[in-house]
Amino acid sequence: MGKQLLFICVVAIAAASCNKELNTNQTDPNGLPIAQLKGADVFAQAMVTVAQDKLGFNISDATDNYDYATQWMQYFARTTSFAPSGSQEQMETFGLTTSFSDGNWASNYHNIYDFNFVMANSTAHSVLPGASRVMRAMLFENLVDQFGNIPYSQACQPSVTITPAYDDAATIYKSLVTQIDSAITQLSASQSTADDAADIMFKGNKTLWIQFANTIKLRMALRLVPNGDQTYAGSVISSIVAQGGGFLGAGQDALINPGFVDQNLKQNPFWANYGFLPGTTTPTQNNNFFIANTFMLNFLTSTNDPRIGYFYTKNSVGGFGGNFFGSGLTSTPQLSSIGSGILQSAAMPALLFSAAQSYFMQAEAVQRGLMTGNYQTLFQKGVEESFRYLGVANPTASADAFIAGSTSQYVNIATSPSPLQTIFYQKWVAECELDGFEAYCDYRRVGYPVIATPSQAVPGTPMPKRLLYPETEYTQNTANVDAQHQQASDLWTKIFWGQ
Amino acid sequence: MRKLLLLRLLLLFCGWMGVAGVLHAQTREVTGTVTDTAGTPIPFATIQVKGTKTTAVADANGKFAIKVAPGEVLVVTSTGMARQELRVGQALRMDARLVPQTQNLSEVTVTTALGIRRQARELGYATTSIKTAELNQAAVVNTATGLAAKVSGVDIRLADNGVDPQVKVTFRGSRSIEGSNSALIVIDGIPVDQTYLANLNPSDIEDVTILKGSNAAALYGMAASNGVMAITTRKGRGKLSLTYQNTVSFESISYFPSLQNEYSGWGGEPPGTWPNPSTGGTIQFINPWTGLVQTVPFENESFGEAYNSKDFHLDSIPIGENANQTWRFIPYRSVPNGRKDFFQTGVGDQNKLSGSFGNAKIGGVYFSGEHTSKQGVVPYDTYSRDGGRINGNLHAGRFELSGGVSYNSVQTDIAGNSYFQNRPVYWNVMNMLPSVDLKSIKNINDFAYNQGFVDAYFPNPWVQVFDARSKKKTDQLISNLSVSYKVNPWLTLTARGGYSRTTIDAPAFIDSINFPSWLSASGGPWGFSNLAVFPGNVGYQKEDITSHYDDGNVDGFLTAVRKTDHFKFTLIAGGNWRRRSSYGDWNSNQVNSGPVVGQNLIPSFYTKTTHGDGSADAIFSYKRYDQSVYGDLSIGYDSWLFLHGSFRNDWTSILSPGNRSFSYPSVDMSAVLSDKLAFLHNSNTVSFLKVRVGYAGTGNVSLEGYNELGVMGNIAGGKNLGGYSVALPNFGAYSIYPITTVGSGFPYGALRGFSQSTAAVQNGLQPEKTESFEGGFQLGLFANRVNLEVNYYDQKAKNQTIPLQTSNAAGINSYLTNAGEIDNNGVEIDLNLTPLFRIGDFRANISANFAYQNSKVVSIAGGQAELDQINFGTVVLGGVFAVPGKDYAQLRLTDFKRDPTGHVIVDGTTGLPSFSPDLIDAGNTNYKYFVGISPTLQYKGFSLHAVFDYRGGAKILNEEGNAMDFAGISSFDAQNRQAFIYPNSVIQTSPGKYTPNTNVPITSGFPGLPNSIFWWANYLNQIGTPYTVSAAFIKLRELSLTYDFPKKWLGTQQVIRGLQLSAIGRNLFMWRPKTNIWSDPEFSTNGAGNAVGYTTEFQTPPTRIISFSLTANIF
Repeated sequence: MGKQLLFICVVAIAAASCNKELNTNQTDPNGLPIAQLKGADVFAQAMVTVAQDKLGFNISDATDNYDYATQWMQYFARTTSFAPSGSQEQMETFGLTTSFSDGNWASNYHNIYDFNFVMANSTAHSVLPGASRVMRAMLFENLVDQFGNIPYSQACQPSVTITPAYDDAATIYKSLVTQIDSAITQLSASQSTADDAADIMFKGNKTLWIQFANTIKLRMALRLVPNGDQTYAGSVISSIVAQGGGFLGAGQDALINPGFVDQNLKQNPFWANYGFLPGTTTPTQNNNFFIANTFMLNFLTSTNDPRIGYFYTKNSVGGFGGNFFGSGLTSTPQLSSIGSGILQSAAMPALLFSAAQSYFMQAEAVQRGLMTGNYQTLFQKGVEESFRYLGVANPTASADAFIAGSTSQYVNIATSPSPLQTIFYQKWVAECELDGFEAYCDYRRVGYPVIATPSQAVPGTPMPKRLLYPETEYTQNTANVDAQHQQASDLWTKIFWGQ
Repeated sequence: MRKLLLLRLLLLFCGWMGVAGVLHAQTREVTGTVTDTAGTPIPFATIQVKGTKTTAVADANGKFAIKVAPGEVLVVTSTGMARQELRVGQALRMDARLVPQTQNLSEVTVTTALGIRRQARELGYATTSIKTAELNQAAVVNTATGLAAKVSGVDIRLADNGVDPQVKVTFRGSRSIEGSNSALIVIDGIPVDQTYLANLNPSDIEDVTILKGSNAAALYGMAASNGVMAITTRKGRGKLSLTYQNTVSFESISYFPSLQNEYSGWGGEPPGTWPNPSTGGTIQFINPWTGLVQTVPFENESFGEAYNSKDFHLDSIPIGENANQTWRFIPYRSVPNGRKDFFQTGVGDQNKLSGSFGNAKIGGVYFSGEHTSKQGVVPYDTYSRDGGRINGNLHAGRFELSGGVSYNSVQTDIAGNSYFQNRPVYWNVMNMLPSVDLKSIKNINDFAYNQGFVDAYFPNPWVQVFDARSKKKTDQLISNLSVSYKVNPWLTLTARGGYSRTTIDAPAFIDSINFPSWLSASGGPWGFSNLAVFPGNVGYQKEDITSHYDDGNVDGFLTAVRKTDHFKFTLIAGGNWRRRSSYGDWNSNQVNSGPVVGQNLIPSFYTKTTHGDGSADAIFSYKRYDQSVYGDLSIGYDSWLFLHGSFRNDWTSILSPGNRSFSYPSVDMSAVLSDKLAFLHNSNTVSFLKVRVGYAGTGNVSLEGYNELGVMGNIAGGKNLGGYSVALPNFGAYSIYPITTVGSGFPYGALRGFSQSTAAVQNGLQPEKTESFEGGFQLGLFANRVNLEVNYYDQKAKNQTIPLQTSNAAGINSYLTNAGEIDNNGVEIDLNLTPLFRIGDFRANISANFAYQNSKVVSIAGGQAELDQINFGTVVLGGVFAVPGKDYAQLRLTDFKRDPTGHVIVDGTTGLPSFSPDLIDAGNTNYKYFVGISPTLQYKGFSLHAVFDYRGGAKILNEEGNAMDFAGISSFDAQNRQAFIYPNSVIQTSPGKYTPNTNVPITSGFPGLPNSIFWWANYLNQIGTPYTVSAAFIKLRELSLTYDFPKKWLGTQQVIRGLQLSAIGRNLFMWRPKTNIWSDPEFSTNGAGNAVGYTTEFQTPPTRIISFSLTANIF
């Protein structure tokens, strides 16, 4: 009997220590669990990801960023040493497939998921929750502007669903405007906190965040003209004016900078993609691959634009040489590469949104009568800000002289028969190699600039008006994506605000 | 009757507990005859009343008489015959029919769970034993390869033919969609990682027991739902004897992809003039198809003109430039075997010595030592293995001790990847121009890329052979100790511990490459533009991986055996504790690549570090605990009816506290009808018949996996591109606790940046459940000369733990949840004919096995989603999928658009086929039909043995073919270099109407790009179907001829007792469908993973091995 008692005791002790052993092994020593992080630990990373998605970074995957728009908007052409293949071939033939857009789609959604985390896990009165709400709205807008209807109301809530349904694009737009409004309310009430250090765009400056939010809101409103709900667009613009915080102004580029330096993985993402290897003057693969576009070179030359030397390098004979987008295997010996106004340094901040763009949009709103002001002055400020960003000496004077001295209808807005066209052409120039996607949106909205069909494309194939839903949606969210009834020909179906 | 039986069973169980007694009966004389199965009397057989000293001996006519009581048992024995037990009933006459010893199916014992040996006749589930002789008859180096095609239902699949290939071992097909389907490996009762199998000395093995289904394996717990390969190593017996064996082997490439030898290089370069070495002037290369001035003979893509072109003729072309800036030339004509001859015949040498001695009463010792070294088919690739083992067992009163320890050290040294595009040797070899004779350019001082080498993209593979090496040293220790104490005659307590440890050190380097200034200025003979992807100087690159993992295992259990008149009860009850841990350290000096690295932000958590010099390292560690209790009860009735059940409860640390405990039962029953049914018992035809049926449930958490610590491979984003990657076992630990990732570039100074994991986990993740039913029979005919075993099984693996791929719009891409079901059934047939015939000294045996396996995905229902497929293997031209209602696994491929009858639809103007937007089902990738046939012929001292292996019912995608056609190097793409009409194509004339295309040829879609490149490199290249073929094959896996020297030749000396000489061939021949012009369809890019069904250029070509072996038995 004693033996049995002893046995039971041994078993009991063993069972207790066994349980303890199982419990001590519940944390992964190989990384940091999310439970230990605050919003501020995630925000800076999400902002850097925004910069990387916009400007490149992943050399091997052109579809991760807006490379396609940069090429279609005639900012880049490619060298002729290689036959195009893969995504480059799809871009050049306007033959995008469902495999084209996976990276773009996935990265944007995961980033929204991270901004959600910041909103839910930050000091309530810090600037970060409001800022994240603005950023999230901007990312959703980017997705709608590329795909039309997208998962929105059910998106990025894996504990609720891993197969979110799609929402109507126009409805999403309206919801995003509301989101920005509540973000502005949140931002207005925010105070300076230790979290400001993680704000690598505006350093916790809520005034700038509100200006940025208003500018994004203005951009969304303008998307709806001239093809969408004009009345609604007008009311959105009125609400911006009523809010009173204003837009990004002179010198107020929205710049993301966590502290880029010329080291591996820490370079400015555009530099890392299109510039030079860390600490060297060795060009990256994409710096070798992409050269000046002859269409753009010809335009800049025809308008005597002094920025040409900032957008592109001079070639070995002191001029500028490029190639047409998608042109075949003809070779020009003297080529121009990306200029010093764009590739400023490995440590340059990443440009998310320029003051120039802000002015050009204001100019458009005023010209269309949706806002009061002087559109010519706003246009002029836009060109001045572009000159300033590129590092042109005496930017204001140079820009003013460039406009005033030009007889081109694409430059001199005062003499232009179509001031709107002039605004769009100069906006397109100001966005050269900096924001191909915004230029592509304007192109789909208003048709400027008028661009010739690339030589590679199957004759008669126009430039796509959207991207196709990615292949991963077909394999992993089949029922919902099928409900959108997408055809390959939907590549040429306009986004609801397009023409 | 059944009720009565149950009642008796119950009563007797009570009896066993001491409630009831045993009745005695009266003794009388029983007479009978002892014969063999043919009825021939056996003289002088011994007849003994079991458990007594009462003995009788049969007379010269086999007749006997003995005094015995009803209910007692007669044991009949005779030399060379199996003993037979006869239960005495009321009859006064009893005849005994003895079967030859070697064929006695009743007496076969097998190793079952926990290493307990049982009579096979008692078991209600399928097991198969392979003895050391059968395993080693082809002198294998890797134990697993010696099992291929020998047992039904066992699928041994080799990932490639490298010096140290990965082997996938699965029993009865696949059950888990994303988790492991590989069998558990148990050595001397201790579970070990699969890697031990490759490094175990096959001669140390006494036998290998295959417990195919979870019924057999239920006692091993959750790791055993995929079946168990239980290996028992040898024990010391008899007086001291030594065995020495030496084997010399020769390995060579057996099948090489069919390459084209007609066309020279060109990949679409712009026009230009190039040096003409024949005249000293310049020439313009002209594309013969377009007439354009643009072709150059130095590309990796071989789309240039034919070597015999009339328009274009050269005697020689420069291949490079040496350090003295002198051009080196090669003749401008194809050298058909110039590439294949790069590979060598790899010589191997294996020396083994083993010894054994012992005494049945005291114990024994077995020891062995081994040194194996072999060369690969790639020059300078080597493999070596040194190992030793000591096993001992000791009987001391009521104690019995046994234990063993083995240690081996395996070293491999192989060529790494090329230094700037990270390609393997094999791919660089295939991509040399057809005019390059690789053997003639071994001197890399003259023919390296930095000497203006002719090929713009692919370095001379000799550069990798000499300047890029990947090494790996694996040391493995296995030890086990078991102590048994016999408390009383029916109760034994056993404690057993096992410990194994693996340490791996895998350094790799790629030497620096510097371009001399003269080359940077001139670019060599072909000009600077030849260096199309001129990478600049690349510094010395190195990486080092060190890892180790430990596995400790303790079992304590009791075994109780009680017998009554009719019943035998065997009870096993005990518990198990297992702890596994692993640690890996990856270290690199590469600054532009490798995993994302950060800084030690939170010391106790974050272990990836960037050092000041740009080097980086990452440390991974995993730990897992498992505990269990189990019970197992067998009840035998009159030695012919057996009922068996088991129960086990597991606790695992890898699940959350609320879900970590789970239990599962198994039950099975078998009946040896030939012992019971009189008409069978007395039959001259049927000598043995057993039927059985069983059910088992096994719990499992199929999250175990490996962290690939890649060497040199991470640069290209892939892994294991020729160098070693070390697979660090993670045991599934921490799977339910996703961790954050560090944002790229972070930290910036003190600024932290983390991103949430792209994986999420269902709350309350449950263990999955495999339910298995099996039934079968074993039939011996004609004195067991014919032995047939048939099994049927049906397994359902439900509620699997699967990381479902989510919509990326969920913010994540993977959601670990309980979902999915695979229903897996099949039939296994084993047939042995011994002897098939016998004429004088000539004797022939044959054994054959057949298996049909069918794994079907029933559903992929998740908690939140009903998915219509899971992609678990990424393939360039499609993917490997689990699709509900279809076979597991499905190959889904890119394809052309086709009309309803399958004709390819082409464009009416360009003649070009268009791409189908959806992936198409191309068939399943796991073999469904297996046939193994092993004939043996013996004549005096000679024996000839062969193993044929057929597998069918599967498809394979050869991405290698696709890659080759991109480069224009295969014989397939040597066709249709000019404009051609797509064969059997149709043109759509109106919606739904198609007419045959007879007159619209394919023309290049790219202006200026000739048809050949456009079609092969840019167009067909995107389609998977042309590269997908039947994966069926027949292989002559083993062919061995052994001569056993007659004893008299050895004379009267007492040292060498036996001598054997063997000539052995492995993988001598393979027959494939004609459409498979690429490689061995058994290979898999995915190694031991589930996503079999495609090969790439990263597997070296198949090889054959011929070896000669001498074995001497000493003392």
